[in-house]
Amino acid sequence: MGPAANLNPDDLSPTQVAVILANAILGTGILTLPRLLAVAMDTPDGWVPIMIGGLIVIAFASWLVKIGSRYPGQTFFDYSPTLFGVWLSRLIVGVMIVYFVCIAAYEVRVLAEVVDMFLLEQTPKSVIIITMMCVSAYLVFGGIGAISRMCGLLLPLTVLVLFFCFALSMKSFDANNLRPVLGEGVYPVLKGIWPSAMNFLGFEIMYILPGRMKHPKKAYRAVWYGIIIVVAVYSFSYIAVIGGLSTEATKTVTWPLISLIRSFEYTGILFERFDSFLMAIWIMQIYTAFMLFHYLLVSSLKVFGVRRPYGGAFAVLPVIYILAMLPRSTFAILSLFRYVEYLFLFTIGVVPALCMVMNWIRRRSQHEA
Amino acid sequence: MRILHNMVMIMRDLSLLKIPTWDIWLAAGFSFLAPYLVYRLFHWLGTNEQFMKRWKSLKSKPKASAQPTLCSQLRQPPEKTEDEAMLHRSLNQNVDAICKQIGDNTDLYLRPFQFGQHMKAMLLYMDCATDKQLLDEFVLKPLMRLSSDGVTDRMDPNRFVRRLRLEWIPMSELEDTASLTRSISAMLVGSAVLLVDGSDHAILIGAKTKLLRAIDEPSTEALVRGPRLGFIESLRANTVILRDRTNDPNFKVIGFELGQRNRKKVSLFYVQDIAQPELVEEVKRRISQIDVDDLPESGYIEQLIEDNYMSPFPQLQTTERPDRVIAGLLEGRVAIMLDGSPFALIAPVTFNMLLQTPEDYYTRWIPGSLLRVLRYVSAFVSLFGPALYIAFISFHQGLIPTKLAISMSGTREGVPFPPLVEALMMEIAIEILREAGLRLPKPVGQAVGLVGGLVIGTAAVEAHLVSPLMVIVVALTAITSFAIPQYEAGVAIRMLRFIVMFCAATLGLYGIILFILMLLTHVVKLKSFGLPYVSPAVPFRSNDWQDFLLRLPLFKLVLRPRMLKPQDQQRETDIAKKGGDRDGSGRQSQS
Amino acid sequence: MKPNCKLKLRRHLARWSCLLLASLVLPGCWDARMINQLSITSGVALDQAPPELMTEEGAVGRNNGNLPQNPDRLQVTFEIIIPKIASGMPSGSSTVKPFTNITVTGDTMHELTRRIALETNPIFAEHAKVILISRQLAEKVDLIRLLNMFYRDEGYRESCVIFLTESDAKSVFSVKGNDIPTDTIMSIADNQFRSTRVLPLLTLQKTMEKLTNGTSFVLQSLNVYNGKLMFHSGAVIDGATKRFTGYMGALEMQGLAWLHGKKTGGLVRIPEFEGKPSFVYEVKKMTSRIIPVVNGDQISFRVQIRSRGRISEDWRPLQITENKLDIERLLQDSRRDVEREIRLMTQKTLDLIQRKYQTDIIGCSNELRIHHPQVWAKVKPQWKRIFAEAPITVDVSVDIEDFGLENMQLQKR
Repeated sequence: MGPAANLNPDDLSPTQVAVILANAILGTGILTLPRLLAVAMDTPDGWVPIMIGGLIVIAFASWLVKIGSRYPGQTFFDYSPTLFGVWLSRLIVGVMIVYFVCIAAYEVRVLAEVVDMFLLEQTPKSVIIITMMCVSAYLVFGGIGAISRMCGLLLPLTVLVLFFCFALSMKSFDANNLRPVLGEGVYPVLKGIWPSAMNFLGFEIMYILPGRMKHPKKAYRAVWYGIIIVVAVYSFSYIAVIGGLSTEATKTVTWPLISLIRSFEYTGILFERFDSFLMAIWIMQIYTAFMLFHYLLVSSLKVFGVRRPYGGAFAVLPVIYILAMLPRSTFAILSLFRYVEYLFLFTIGVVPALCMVMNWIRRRSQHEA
Repeated sequence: MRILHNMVMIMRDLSLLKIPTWDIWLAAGFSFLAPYLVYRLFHWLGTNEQFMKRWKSLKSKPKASAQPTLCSQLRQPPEKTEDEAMLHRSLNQNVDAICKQIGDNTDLYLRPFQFGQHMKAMLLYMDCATDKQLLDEFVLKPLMRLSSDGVTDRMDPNRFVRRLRLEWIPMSELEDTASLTRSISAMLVGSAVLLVDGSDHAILIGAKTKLLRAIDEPSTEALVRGPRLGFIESLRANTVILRDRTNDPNFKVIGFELGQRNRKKVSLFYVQDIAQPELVEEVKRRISQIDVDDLPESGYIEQLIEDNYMSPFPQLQTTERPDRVIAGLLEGRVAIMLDGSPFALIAPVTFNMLLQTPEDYYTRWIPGSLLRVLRYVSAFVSLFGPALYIAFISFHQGLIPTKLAISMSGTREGVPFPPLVEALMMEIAIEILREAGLRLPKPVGQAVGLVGGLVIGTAAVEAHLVSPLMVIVVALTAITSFAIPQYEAGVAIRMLRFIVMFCAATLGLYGIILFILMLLTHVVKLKSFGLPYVSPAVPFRSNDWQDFLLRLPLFKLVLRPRMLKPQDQQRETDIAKKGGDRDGSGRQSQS
Repeated sequence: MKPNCKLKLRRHLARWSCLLLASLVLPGCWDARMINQLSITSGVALDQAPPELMTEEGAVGRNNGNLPQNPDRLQVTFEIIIPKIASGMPSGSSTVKPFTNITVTGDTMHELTRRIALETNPIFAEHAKVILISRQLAEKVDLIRLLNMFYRDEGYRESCVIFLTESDAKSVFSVKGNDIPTDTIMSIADNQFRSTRVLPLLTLQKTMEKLTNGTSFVLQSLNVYNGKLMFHSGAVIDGATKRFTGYMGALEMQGLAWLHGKKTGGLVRIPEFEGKPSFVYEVKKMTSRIIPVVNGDQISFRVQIRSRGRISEDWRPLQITENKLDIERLLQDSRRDVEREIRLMTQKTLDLIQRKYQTDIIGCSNELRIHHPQVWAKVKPQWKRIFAEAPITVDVSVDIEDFGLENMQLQKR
C-alpha cells in the first residue's frame, strides 16, 4: 500500500523475538513434561534438569543466532543456498522439513487426543485437526509481523492463566512430595536432562528470527528472556504437579497437569472448576506452536523454489494431517516423539556445525584467492 | 544396514508402514481443500469487478488535489486550464452564455444597472442562495452612488473592474475571475457575479445565505461531562468550532473538493509538528483518489479510503464531538470532515479507541480507569455471553459448578429447542426490537422497547419456548452492548456474536477458542493506515499501556502514544518539562 | 476470452467453497447433549452383591473373560438428582425426594455404568461428589482395582471424595428426610474443624496417590444409625494389601489427630485424675513433627507435638486466691494434665497401629524417605515389620494462653 507500508515496518524487537521463541517452545510439554521427568528420574528433583536443560538450550539457540547474525536481513532459508550450494542445501533443508512436519503432526495429534478426551468425546479427530490447521494457515499468511503480534497477545494471557491455575492448586499441594532434594544424588538429575531438553524443541524458530530483526545482535538477549519464561513455566508446572500428585501418582497419569486441575474444587465461588481455563490457554499454546512450525515449513519451501507462500501453506497441510493420523493410539503418538529426537539433534546440532564448517571453508578460500 | 533396519523398526513402531485408510486420504484432501477454497472465496470476494475498479483507481492519477490556499495564489496566480470557457468583453455575450447554460432555472436573477452614461453592468445571482440584504447594502448601494458621480466614463472597463474590487465594494469575500465556468459554478453555490460591459473579468461576490442549525449537544454521543457541543452540517461552522478551541499555529486545515457532479468540500485536519508526515501524506493520497458523483455523508469517505472492507471493525472513527477530534489530533492522528455531515472521521483507529470515551480523561483517574475496565468486561460479555452459555449447557456440563448445572437442567425442563435455536430466537428478537426502536419517534420507540422486552421475555418463558436463564443471558448481552461507547464497534460485536454462537454450537468450548484465534488473527493482520489495529496491546510499549486498560493519572501520561510515532513526543505540561531531560536520550534511540 | 474464463473459474470456486462451508457446518454438533437429558449423578455407592443376587445371571454384561474376574459381584447404586425438584422449581412438591437411586448388579464397574442406559438417561458423573465403599467390599477387594475405573474414566473427576461405610453403602443414599444425602455428607464433612472425629477429606486423587505409593492411611467411615446418617469412625486401609484392616476408636482417632498435627480445632477432655474434677482444653493450634532417628540399624522416631489452646470449660472448684504463685501452679498443673492426656491418647493410637494393625498411617515412612533416603530404600520391603518394632517416643508441650471469656483474675475477687 505505497508509502503506508513504511509507517510500520515489521522489524522485530528483542522482546518480540523472546515472545515468539517462548510461544514456539511452549506446547505439549506443559502437560506431559512432569510425567516424562517422573518416569525418567523417579525422584522429585525434576526442576533441576529443567533449569540445566534450559541453560543448554540457551547455548544452542545462541549458536543459531551467531550463525544467523552473519547474514543480517536473511533467514537460514535465504542464505543456505549461497552457503551450501543449491543441492546440498536442498538435502539439508529436506531433512529439516521432515522434522518440522513430524513435530507439527505431533502437536496437532496431541491436541486432538486431549480435546477428544476432555472436551469433545464424539467429535471426529479429523474435524479437530483440520479446523486448527485452517486457523493456522490464516495467520501464516499474515507474515512475521502479524505472527509476532499474535504471540504477544497470547503469551501474557497464557502465563497469567497458568500461574493462576498453579496458585489454585496450592489446595492440594504437599511440600513433602518434593522432598528430599537431591536425596539420591545427581545421577537421576543426569537422567532427567535429556527428556527435559527435548521438551524445549521449537527453538529452531531462531533459524528465522534473527534475520527479521533490525539488530540481530540483540537476539542473544531475546534468547535468554524467551527461554527463561519457558523454564519458569515448566518448573512451576513441574513443582505444582509433583507437589499435588506425588512422583508415583504422576507416573500413572497421561496428562498430569489436567489431572491436577481436576483434583480440586473451590465450592461456592463463581467457577468451581478450573479445567476449562487450563484447556483454553493450552489449546492456544498448541496453536501458536503448531502455527510457528507451519510458518517454518512455509519459509523452508523457499529453498525448493516455491516462491508464492500461499500454495505452499496449503500444500503442507495434508501431509501433516496424514502423518498426524497414522499412529493408532496415544501411546504410539508419544513414542513418535521419541524418534523425532534424532531429527531434532540433526536440526539443532549437525546443521549449525555444517554451517560453521562451510563458513570457515568459504573464508579460507576467499583468503587464498 | 543397521541404520536401515532401525529405520524400518521405527516406522513399524509408528505404524507408518501401514497405508493410510481411505478416510484418512479423504480427510487429508479435505484438509487441503477446505482452507484453500475458503481462501479462494475471500480472494474472489476481494477482487470482484466493482472493487477491481477501485483498486485500479488507487493506482491511477489522483482525481483531486488539495485546494490551493490564497497565500499560494498571491505568489503564483492560478494557471488557466485549457478546456475552461472564458468570459467575453461584451456583456451581452456573457449574459447569453450564462443563460444558455443555466437560463432555464427559475431562480436565476439578473439585475442590470449602469455606471454613468455608457457603462452597463449586470449583477447575476441565484435567488434564495444569495443573501439579498447583503447585496443591497454593500454592493448595489455603493455602486449606484458611484454611477451617479459620473466619473467613470472615460475609464478602461478592465481597470474599472479592478478599482471596483479594490475600492468600492466593502465586502471581504471577493474574487476576480476571467473564467466563465468558474463564475457559473460560484453562482450556483450562492455567489453573486458582477459583470461590466467591456471587461472580460467578473467579480464574484461571496454573499451566500447561511443555512445553519443551532449547535447542539451531540445526539449520538450523549455525554456525562465535557463540552455540550457537537458538530453541525456546515464545514465552515465545524472549522470554526475547531479553530475556536485550538490556538496552536501548527494546527492545519487542508481543503479538498470532491465529487464529480456535486463538488463537496472536504477538510483534513492535523497538527503539523505532531502527526507523522507519512501518515498525512497517505491520507491525502487516499482522499485525492476518491472518484464518485457525490459524497452525501462522511460514511462514503470512510468506506472509500479504509484498508480492509471485509473487516467487521471500523477503521476510521466516527464522532460528533469536537473534543474527541482535538484529543485525537493531539495524539498525532488526523481528522477528516465533509461539508454537509456532522460526523468527523479520525484516522488511524486502534483497537483501544473503540472502548474509550473523552470522559475517561475528564473524570478523575480512578473512576475513569474503573469505568474503562467495566467497558472491556461488558464488551467481552456482549460478545461471548450466549456462546459460553451454549457451550457449557450443551457440551461441557461437567465444567460448571454442580449447583448451577442442576438449576440449569431444571430450568431447561420442557424447552423443546436446542440451546442454539433458543439463543438465536431471543437474540434476533432483541436485535429486531432494537432496530425497530431506532427508527420510531422517541416516545414510541421507548414503548416498543418496553412492551417488546416484557412480552417476549415473560411470555416466552411461560410458554416454555425458552428457559429463564436464556432470557437473563440475552438481556445481559443486550445491556452490555449498550455500554460500548462507539456505535460502529457495537455493531461489529453484535455481528460477531452470532458467528461465535454458531462456533460454540458446533464445537463447544473448542469452537469458541478457535473463533477467538480467528478473530485475533484478523485483528492482528488488520492495519488502519499502516498502523496495526491492536497497536496499544502489542508490540508492548509500556508508555502506551499506561493509557490502555487503565487510564493512569494525567501527570503519568507525559508522552504521546508511541505507536503513532508522533514527531513531538512530549505532551507539553509543566511536569513533562521537568522530566523531559531524563527521557530525552531514550527517545533519540527509539526513533 | 481469457478474463471471462478466469471469471468463470472464480465463480466455480466460490460456489464450491460455499458448499464446503455448508458441509462443514451441517454435520456439526457431534457432542451436543441436552443438559436436561442427562442423569446428573451426585454419588456412587459400591456394595458387595447380596447372596441372593450372587447366582443371578445378569441379562447383560457377563464378564467375557478378558477382564480380571471379580470373585465378588458388585452392586452399585447411583444417586441421580432430579433437577426439577432439586432446583426448587415451583412445580415440584416438597414431599418428593429430589433424587432417585438406581441399583445395578454386575462384575465390572464400567459395564454397570453402561447398563444404566437400559433404564434411564445415561449416567453423567462429572458432578459426582462422593464415592462410598462398604466395609464388606473393602475387606475383600483391592481398593486400587475398585477405584481404577473411576480414576481412568475422564467422566469422573479426581475431586470426588471417598468414604467407607459400616453399613451397606446404598443405605446411606436412603436415609430419612428430603435432603440429598451427598449434600448432607459434604456439609458434615465441613465440620472437620470442630471435631477430631471428622478426618480431613480424601479425594479420589489423594486416595489413588496413597494406594499407588503403598502408604497406609485412614478413610472416614460413615454409618447409618436409626435411619440417620452419622460420621462413624476412621477406617484403616493397609497400604500393602490395599484393603480395609480395622477401625479406630474415638480415643485413637483423637490421638491420630495429634500425631498428624494438621488440624486446628478439637477438644481435649481431661478426665478426673487424682481426685481433681475435669476441665476441657480447646485446641487452637496443634503441630507435630516426626523426626526419624537412625542409629546404625536401629530406626526410631521422635514425635514432637506442640499445641496452643485455652481452657474452655472448667469443672474444678473456684480457687479464690490472690497469690501469683498459686495461679502459676494452677496453670502448670493444667498444662501437665493436658500433656499427660495427649501423651496417653497418642500412646494408645500408637499401640493400636503398631501392635494390632501394623500399619504406618502417621507418615513415619515419608519422614524416613525424606530425611534418610538411603535407609528408606533399604528398609522399604520389610517396612511393616520395622515400623511395628520401631520405638516411637512422643514429646508433648502445651501452652495455655487463654481462659476464654471468664477471666481467672476476675474470678478471684
